[in-house]
Amino acid sequence: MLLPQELQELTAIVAEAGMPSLAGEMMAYALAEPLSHQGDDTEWQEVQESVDPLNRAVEFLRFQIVLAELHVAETEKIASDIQEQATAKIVYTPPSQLSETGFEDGSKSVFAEKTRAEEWTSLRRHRVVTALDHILKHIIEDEDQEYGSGSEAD
Amino acid sequence: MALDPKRTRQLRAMLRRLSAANAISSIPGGTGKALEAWVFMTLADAARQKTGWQVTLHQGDGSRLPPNHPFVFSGGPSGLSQAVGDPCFARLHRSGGSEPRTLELHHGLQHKGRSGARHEWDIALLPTEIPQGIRATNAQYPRGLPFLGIECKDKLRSGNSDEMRQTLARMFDLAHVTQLRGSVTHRMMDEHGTAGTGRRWPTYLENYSHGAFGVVHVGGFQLGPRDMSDHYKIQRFGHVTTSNTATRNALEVSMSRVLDRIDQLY
Repeated sequence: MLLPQELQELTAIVAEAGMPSLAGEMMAYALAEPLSHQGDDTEWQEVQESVDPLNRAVEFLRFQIVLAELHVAETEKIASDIQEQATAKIVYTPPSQLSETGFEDGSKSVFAEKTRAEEWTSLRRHRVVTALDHILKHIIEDEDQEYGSGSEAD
Repeated sequence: MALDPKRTRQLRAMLRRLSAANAISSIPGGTGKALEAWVFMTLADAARQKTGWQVTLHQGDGSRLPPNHPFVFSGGPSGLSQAVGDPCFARLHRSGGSEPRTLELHHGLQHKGRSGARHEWDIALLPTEIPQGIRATNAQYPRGLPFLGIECKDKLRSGNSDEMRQTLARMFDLAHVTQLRGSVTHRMMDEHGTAGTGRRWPTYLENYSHGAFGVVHVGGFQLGPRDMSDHYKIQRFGHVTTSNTATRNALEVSMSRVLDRIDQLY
């Protein structure tokens, strides 16, 4: 299979940024043949959807990063409202730093007050995620414009 | 065609910032954890908005979460929290009404079915008597159907029939209908089946409908699971977007209905 150059570049960028797992999942999602099921179990048909792999890759990143960070931000806000105290933080603690009590896989994430507050405040997260979403949208717009101008030239 | 070099530089910079901050999106499986955390707190907040109900956050040993203390969130299926440092939970308390009611909202908690198999609910609402009994006996798993149980699927593709069947199978194994013989005498019981709380009904469907069960699926649902979920009263919370408004409203309604009918469940 010949991988589109943009998808290769995007995968490399994500992996080099320290997110190799996300890069792999993004590649798999982008290259999957999207099928939509219409009907139910007794009468249905699969309909092949025609979606550009780069579009699917960007859709995946927006879902994985932007939506997840929005969920964390809103969760922290609600937790703070319930506790009526300062903004809470959600962080992930590696399994090695955790008590094994009650866990099967030894992992858990934590809402932690003041954890990494200096380097990753809610405001900073909001700025980074908003900027990232903006860039991802522009990548798709660039792609659409290239495709559009190419069609006209043809 | 290559990506625009300017966009490439910007993207690389933003992703590195996220990665350096160990943001939830840079962690494998982080999206699912974020979704579960959001659904959990949205449901807790819905209870807080209800007149007559109070919501407090608690540590794994049952004590009140102190100010400026971490709220530990479950990263995987587990038994009931026993100690500080284990997953935290929310306690919902109604002091008015016909009699006081106290419930606990947990995440990632496994329940033991009639078969002996364990089934995880991403979010589960239980009468406090059950987890208190479990903590007192140093056991781990509740038995029976919770008052509310939510499954979260952080998948972009649409939810299919198999996923709905999994949820239904979990509910079937957990349901204590009144025809059942043996030690299951209540809707929910402690791990050893010695103490229980909650009313049972003669059919599975009645036990399901006197509670709230649902699947949150980011990508929405195919047509296939709709008839099944409608028949067995399994709510579908689909198409979770960055605005979150519709899903949040639907979750709030679901929690509100359970609390409105809470006395019928005892």
